Amino acid sequence: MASIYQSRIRTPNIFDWILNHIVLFGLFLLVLLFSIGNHNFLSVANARSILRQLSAIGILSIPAALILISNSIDLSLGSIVGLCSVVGIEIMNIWGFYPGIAAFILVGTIAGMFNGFLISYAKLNPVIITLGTQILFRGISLAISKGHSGLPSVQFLNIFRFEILGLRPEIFILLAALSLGWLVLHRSRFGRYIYATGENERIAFLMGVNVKWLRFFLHTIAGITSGVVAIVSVSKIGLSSGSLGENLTMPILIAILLGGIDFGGGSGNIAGIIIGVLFMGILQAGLLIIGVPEFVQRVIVGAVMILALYSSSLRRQKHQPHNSRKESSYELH
Amino acid sequence: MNYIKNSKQFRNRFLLLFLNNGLLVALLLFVLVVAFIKPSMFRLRSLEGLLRQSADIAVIVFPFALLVMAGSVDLSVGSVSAFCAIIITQAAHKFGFFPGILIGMITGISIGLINGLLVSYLRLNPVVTTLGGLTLWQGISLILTNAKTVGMGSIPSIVLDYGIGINRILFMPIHFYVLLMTYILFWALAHKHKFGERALAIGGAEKAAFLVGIDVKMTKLIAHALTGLGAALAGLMMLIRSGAAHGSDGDGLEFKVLTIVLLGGVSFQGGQGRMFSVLISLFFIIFLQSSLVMLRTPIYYQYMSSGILIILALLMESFVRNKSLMIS
Repeated sequence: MASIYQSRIRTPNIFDWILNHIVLFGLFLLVLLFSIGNHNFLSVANARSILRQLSAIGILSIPAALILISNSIDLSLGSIVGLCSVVGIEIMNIWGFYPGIAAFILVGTIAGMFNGFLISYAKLNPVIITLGTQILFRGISLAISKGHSGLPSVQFLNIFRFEILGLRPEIFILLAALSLGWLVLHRSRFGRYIYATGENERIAFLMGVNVKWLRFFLHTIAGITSGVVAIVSVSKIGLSSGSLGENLTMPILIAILLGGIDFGGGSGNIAGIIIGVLFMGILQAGLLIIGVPEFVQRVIVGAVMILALYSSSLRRQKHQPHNSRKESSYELH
Repeated sequence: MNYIKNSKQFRNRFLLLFLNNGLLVALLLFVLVVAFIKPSMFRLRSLEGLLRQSADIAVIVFPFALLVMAGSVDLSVGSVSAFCAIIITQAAHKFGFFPGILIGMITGISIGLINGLLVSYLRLNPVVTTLGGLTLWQGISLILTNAKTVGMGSIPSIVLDYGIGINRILFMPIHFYVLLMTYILFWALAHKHKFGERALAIGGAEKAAFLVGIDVKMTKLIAHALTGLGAALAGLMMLIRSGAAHGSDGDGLEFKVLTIVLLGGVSFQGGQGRMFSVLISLFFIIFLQSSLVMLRTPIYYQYMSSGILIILALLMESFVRNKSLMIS
């Protein structure tokens, strides 16, 4: 115990600060690097377009982070986005605008409930189950669309392409998701339950938290959010396809890992997630702007993923006394 | 009371016996159904094709199963196999075919060692680490080849003849021997050698294994290195069949292997599994996929079937685990 108190009262120095805020520091470094690489990088127009690009990752990373805090995981969110877009646009083209929007949300809800049921009530391993449902949902959306992409109606595009204060609606949805996430996580009893479940499931259960229902609910919320993200993505791209959202799962995972949410749950906050999402969005946009080839981008994303995981494990070792580490299969060494 | 307890135990034992060999029964039933619908599936040539496909995947399935038994996982095997195949073709251009194979195998083992170091010594979560590796190695092999197909002509044509089964040893294609040797080797390693016992102990209860005195980190590292070698061998098997390599060759291999291993009753939590069940599961999946192709199922449904199979495998496993907990 002594070592913990020692580290708390140690006089702060600049290296400690950088180590504790390594992602924030990395974010500054990234902006600096890209600004040197391209003079147009630091401009209001570019900031606006980056914000638009990262909105999908940002909106979806909130429920994904809540799930990870409760010590579960969802790797199928990208596929759910694709499935929602395919079914939603099909129904919109047959039955009209409002049934289409309802279909977007409904399909997401059902997919999320399916995941949640398998994970919390059938007690299956979340990693493998969501890898499996990822393939399943992708297959369903390809089977429905037969590999063709669907065209949304003009009405749909008009409604989701207006601008307020020069900002597209997805940015307001992002802000709403962030504030809702902050309220739930830091200002409500439900948020404390999420932390408790992630920290120690058994004790949370004994405290009276309905652990199964909580995870089920979080996975359902993630499904609904995927439906919203599907609407946003379709309105941005102007197409629906089964492969929409294929490149969403990894960046979301990287963003929330960089944001200080550990594997194994029980820690993390909204401020961290915002920084992680900004880092990921700026990295992706900046690599495009300074003209890095697509394959090199893949290598960089993979390397950042492993680094993010390493930084999160370093943080965990620093902040948790050794003997209180949880007894999940990957935590124990 | 005693009588009731015994009858319940007997019923549970019977259920467990069925569940443990249920896959074999399912395979036989499935074979019968397909035989009824599509007798041409059972011509000698088709069966030989099944054997060849099984051997292509077997070289990676068995080390992967051992890795999962040890409580870790490697999702980067697909892109590592493509990367190794590319390395083999490039090295074969420069130094000749057999040194090229050697270099490819060393590459595979090194990547496995890197994964093992990250997972066991730096304590990173294996799923996410190797998901990162999946993207990383695919990106590197696409950069190296500029997304082109490479290596035409780097493989001697006599080797290619062995690879597609024209040249044979003792009337059997070499794939038969590859399958047999890999299975026997890993069966012995997992169930007859102390390494397998250690790996299973680590998968079952890592802390207990550590306290008993097993070098947990080293064992996991070796299991990862073996998986890397297996991925390189899978790349080699793809190469000697097609004669060329592309950066996206191994796409989806990791899910296929994972499905086979999980369906084979290897617990994802580690600590449980039999190599024989994995072998049966391998035949089952290969047979299923070939017959889906033969019955002209659309590709999307084939895609869906593998997702459903993963979920079914996990459901079955959790059922078996609950039952076996009840018995003991």
